[in-house]
Amino acid sequence: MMRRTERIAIGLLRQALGLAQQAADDLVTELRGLSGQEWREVYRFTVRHFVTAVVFDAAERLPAEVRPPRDLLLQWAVHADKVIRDNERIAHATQSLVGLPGVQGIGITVLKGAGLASLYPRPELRESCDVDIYTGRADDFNRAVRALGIEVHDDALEHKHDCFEYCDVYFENHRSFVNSVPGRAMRRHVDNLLVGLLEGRGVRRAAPADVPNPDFNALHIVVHTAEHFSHGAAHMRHLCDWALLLASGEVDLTLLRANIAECGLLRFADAMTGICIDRMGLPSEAAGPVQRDRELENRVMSAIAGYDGKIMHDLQHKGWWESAVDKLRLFIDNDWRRRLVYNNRSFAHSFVKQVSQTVRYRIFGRR
Amino acid sequence: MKIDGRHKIRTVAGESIIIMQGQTTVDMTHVVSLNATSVWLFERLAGRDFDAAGVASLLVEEYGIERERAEADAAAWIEKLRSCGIIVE
Repeated sequence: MMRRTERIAIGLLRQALGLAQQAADDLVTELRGLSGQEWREVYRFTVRHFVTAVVFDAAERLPAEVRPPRDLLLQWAVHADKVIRDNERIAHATQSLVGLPGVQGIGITVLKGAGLASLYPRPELRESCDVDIYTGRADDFNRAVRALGIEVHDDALEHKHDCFEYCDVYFENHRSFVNSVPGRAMRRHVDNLLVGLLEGRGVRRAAPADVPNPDFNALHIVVHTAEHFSHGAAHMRHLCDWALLLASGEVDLTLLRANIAECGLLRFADAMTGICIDRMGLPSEAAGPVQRDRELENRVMSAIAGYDGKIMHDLQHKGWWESAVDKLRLFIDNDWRRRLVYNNRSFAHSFVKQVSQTVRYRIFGRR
Repeated sequence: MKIDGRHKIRTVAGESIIIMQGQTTVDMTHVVSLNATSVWLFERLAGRDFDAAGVASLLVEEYGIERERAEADAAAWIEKLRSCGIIVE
């Protein structure tokens, strides 16, 4: 069961995305009598879910009698302004990177971020903190940027990307797209599907760099969100991206459904889609065929709405033993999520897989 | 003197403001609220050099106020924006 302030934040988000003619009167009615404290909870929700600037766009257009208190509105405006400036800085850094000597001959595709931002009514409001890129030639790219004095952290064994900082922006150069799908064979299969979509259907010319085609983006969003959801880290921005991409009408829905089924993620994807229809204003005709399960959708929605990034942040700053105990507790709490996403694999199976994967790359350096 | 071109007026719920973002490691962000006259002067003078006398002349011309009062208002406006770093030499 979601809290009132969560429902309101999501209602404002729905307004901001502009996908449906929201019953604005209903939202205004719900906002009447909202206290300053409750408004602050709404604001904090948007911060946790990386949609502060997007929701602000709706909040500042509310009728005067139901707007947030002035001091909060100004604080919100400051946050939204920072998002815009950060996006400008990221775009400038990306444009500069693409033009570097030695890098120019290596095609750079910007994943997520810039490609998905263009779907938003106001792209500059979609919050990003780093840049995910794909080159298909990671070693050549690393050599080229290292020759220019840029330090690259080769983290391919721990994660799926190499990292570097350029113009005060953090870049992740992906060698693959999948991290926590259980089973090496399945990980490889899903990765091959995505690479096939990206290289087979091409990229789109955009500023400051090329972006993937919509079919790649669609499958990538599902895989990426499923991974995050399985360990309790999916949030509202994931749902916004999904709703807007489906609403764009540019995705081959038949191909998408087949690909999602091959990845074993149909049930989860249908839950995401159902949520977007009911909560985000996604027109049902834009969603394509979807198997509805409202009880599951409500459970998933509550879980996503309850996302608390602080838990993840705190884990990184605890001692080894404390962190291990917390991680085990989270692993147990997230069992139902993994079963949903990865098709009812037993807890024992998931636990053994997770431990063996950890041992493999910590001790033997292999994923 | 001139208005620092990095600063833009934003309208938030009918209120005109300039957001001064702080450094990334220090929370020095603050918001400067402008009344209608401040906004009008900002828009007239953006992108050009000016002095206090020129600001006073604009006020006299636009609002028909006495020169002495215009000079006092101009000085106050300049001082307020200079103290925030919005007007620079």
